Amino acid sequence: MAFNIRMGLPEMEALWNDISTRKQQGKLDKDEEKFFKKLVKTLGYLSENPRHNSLASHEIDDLTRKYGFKIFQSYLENNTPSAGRIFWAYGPDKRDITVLAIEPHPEDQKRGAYQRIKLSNLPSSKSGGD
Amino acid sequence: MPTLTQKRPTVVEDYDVAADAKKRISLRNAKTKYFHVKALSNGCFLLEPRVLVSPEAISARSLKMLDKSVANLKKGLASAPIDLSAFAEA
Repeated sequence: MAFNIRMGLPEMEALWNDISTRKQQGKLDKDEEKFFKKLVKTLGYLSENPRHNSLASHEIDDLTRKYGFKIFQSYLENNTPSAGRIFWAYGPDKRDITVLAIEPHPEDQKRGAYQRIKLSNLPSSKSGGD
Repeated sequence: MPTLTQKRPTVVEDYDVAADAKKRISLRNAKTKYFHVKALSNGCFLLEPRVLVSPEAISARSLKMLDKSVANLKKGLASAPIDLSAFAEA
């Protein structure tokens, strides 16, 4: 593998631990099973080649500006942003990729799904990236 | 110091309308395509304009998750590398 895939702390790690443990125990429901399959496939492509065509990886300028380093987005399903997206960045070490967040958030399916924020409305970083 | 004042809505159209055989009515000069509809117990219907959200928008929860992950990544903190081999399709 070209890159190590790491999860952002603490929420992404908790999400991965939860879903992967339940997968091994065969406790995922039908939707979760489908989501997990797409996620593993995406992470597999990401570790082999972050620029893989299926991922449609691209930098999100608004987020890069906000956080002060390059943030990328990849699709869980080819050409279907609404099917799910992951946000990731290179680091913390060389040959590492850290998955920072996932969209839609698992909790969004339960409540508050309409609390969405337009990327163009994100406040810019105060420190300019510390 | 400028203050924010919200204009009270005024009546710009006032008309009677009959529902057709499928109980549909037409809105005259509607400025948006999508509405949120509330049917009240007294027979009134309240329509509120809605706009579709871009699929590129990000939910508040995902953004919060991103904030925390980035803060930790800036400190050099992330989980141990994950092992995908256990989940590879046979």
